[in-house]
Amino acid sequence: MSEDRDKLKVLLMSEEIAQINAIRKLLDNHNQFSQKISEVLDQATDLTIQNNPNFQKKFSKIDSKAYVRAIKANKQTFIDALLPIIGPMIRQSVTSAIRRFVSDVNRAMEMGFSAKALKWRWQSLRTGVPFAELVFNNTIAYQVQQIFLIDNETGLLIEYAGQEGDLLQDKEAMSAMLTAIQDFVKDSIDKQSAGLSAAELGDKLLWLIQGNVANLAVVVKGAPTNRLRDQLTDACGELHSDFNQELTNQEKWNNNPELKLQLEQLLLTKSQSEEQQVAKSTRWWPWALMFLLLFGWLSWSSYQKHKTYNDHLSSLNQTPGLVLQDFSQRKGQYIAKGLADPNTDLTQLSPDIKLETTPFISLDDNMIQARVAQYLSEPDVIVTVNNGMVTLAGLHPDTDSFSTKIMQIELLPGVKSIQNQLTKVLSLAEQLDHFLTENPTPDGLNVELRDETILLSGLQLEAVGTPYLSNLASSFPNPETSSLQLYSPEALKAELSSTTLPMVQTGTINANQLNTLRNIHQKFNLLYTDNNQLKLKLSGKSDCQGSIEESNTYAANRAATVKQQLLEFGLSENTLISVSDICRQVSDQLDTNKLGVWFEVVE
Amino acid sequence: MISKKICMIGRFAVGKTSLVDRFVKNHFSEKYQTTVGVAIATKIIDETTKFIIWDIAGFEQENHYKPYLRGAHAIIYVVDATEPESIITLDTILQDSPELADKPSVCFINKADLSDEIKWQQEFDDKLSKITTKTYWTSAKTGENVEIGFTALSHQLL
Repeated sequence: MSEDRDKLKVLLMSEEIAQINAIRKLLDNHNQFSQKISEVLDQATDLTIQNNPNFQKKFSKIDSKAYVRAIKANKQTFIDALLPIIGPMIRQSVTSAIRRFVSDVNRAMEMGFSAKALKWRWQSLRTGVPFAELVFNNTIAYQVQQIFLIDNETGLLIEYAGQEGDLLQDKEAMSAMLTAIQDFVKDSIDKQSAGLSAAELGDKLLWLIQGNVANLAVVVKGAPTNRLRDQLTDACGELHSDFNQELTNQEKWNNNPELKLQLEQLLLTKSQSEEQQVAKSTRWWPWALMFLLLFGWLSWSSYQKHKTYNDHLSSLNQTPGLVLQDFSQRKGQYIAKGLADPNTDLTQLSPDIKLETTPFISLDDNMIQARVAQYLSEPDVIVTVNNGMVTLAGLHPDTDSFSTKIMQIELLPGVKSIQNQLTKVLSLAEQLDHFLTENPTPDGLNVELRDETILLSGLQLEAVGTPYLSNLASSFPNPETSSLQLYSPEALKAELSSTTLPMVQTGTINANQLNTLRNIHQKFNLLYTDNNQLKLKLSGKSDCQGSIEESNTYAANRAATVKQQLLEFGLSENTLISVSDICRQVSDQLDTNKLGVWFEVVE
Repeated sequence: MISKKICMIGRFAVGKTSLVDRFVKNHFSEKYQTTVGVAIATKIIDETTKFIIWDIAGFEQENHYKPYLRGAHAIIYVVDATEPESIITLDTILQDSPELADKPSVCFINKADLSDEIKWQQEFDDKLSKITTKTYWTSAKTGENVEIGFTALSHQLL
């Protein structure tokens, strides 16, 4: 039964059985099966992704650890693979960086040196407004700083262009808020209206441009024109036509480089004048200025270096006792090599010069002069040298050791001969004698040397004594004058006229009275020398006690005694007038103050 | 990274803003500040998903919230465990916007920390089960279940 059934199965289904066997064989043979699958795999994948978008994520998930492991295990393979890519990447990055740098330098030069820039800097300093703000206000008409492309329905961000650092917060949150505000305005004010189209954000302007699927939110700084709005509206329409699929496909949102690039092209900046644009395109002058400054600085620097070198060389060559053998500059320092006499004065040289010298004895006249002066060590001796001939001048001490020194000068190197023109130093007594010989002392004055001090003493009229004192002081500073009495004629006359000689006795003169009379004689003599018409009047007086007759006799005797003494001192008879005060009435009281001689100078 | 618009819905003072603050900033303030209009917050959930959370002001004014719900990817319903009648507000919203019922959603029964004041009954659970399948007892004050609730919602969006 079973065999019959098998036979029947073979007869009826032999072809199908053969096909099943072939399929089984195909499944068992991995190579053939893989070949077959590979023929439909591409098409099948597309179909699967179309039916299930999440399927693709399974392939796009990144396992960073797997990459790390792979790189660690196959370093060289990765290096070989990346090498052709990294080179061009670096070149492109460097080129881009240089281009940005040149652009920055251009802008900095223009902003740094122009008169306008200086004016703006001053304005910025004065008002406190940032310099960049002033530059923007004065040069930029407007600048589109940020662009949000926002889905109408969800308020989610489709794409963003601009500096993310300028954002106050998350760009997705910003786009959601803008949509919420738009909805709020529509809901609150007019549901039929297009909603909010513009808003001011501080010094910036926010434009909302409606699209069918997505809205453009644009942040503009400055004063944009209506033409810009038209331009952005057109751009919004173009975005809808160019990226129709992408705008509705949330998978593509925030991950669409082409869309982002197109948005970035809308980040427009317009300068205030077209001329500035032209100037920007041909801004050669900052470079020329920089080149000129650089060239000028290099020239000046080279000139200064050369001048300094020559100055140092000249000062070295002019330094007596220094023989320069080599002069060079090394690491910013000047090095001089050569021979130097120990007496060479190196203090005048610049501290920039480092000396590397060997000591030697110079036969230069200046060095011989320094050597002789150092040897003599006498500040009053003046040494001059001419071709080895030493001339000594000035004052020298009169000592044996100095005389010996002078004789030994010829032994010093370079000294050929000596010419001695020294003058011996005089003692103070010798100098005073010399002075008195040339300036005899006036009568009444006396000059003497006591304990190395010059003393001027005596009595004299000012007209004579003062010039003499000046003359003496010019030769001998600060002479001692405590015993010097100088009078004017009037003062001397007044002094004499107030002089009284108390005298009890009538015929004798004691020692004190004699000294007083000698002084009176001396003073009157001075007056008489000056004016020989003068006379000295002597008035003898008594106290009128006892008898009038006796008293008058005593008074006359006193005057006669004094006159006699003055005559003995040398006064002539005709210069003296002797009188006595006559008593008219007898006094009964003893008054010694009325006993004596009174003096008066009269003409 | 794909952004997802999440809308917080619920009666006023149920704690919507506090839940968002706890989830986004891990912060809670006892001070009540009513939301005007809508407040937006964002949080990156994982390497592929970012939540743009629309915290919509209390749903008392008729229909004023409807524009904000447009295009929402998911809804978070919030009720107050101490004021169960706040569920009524959710019913009203769903009657007004029936399309929300088809969106992924979770419900936060908030203020779970106020255990002495909770007036919850079985019938409220039944009512919530008609609105959403996932409910969480949450506390914005302690952070209880807040992270878990948002994470659960993100899983629904995968």
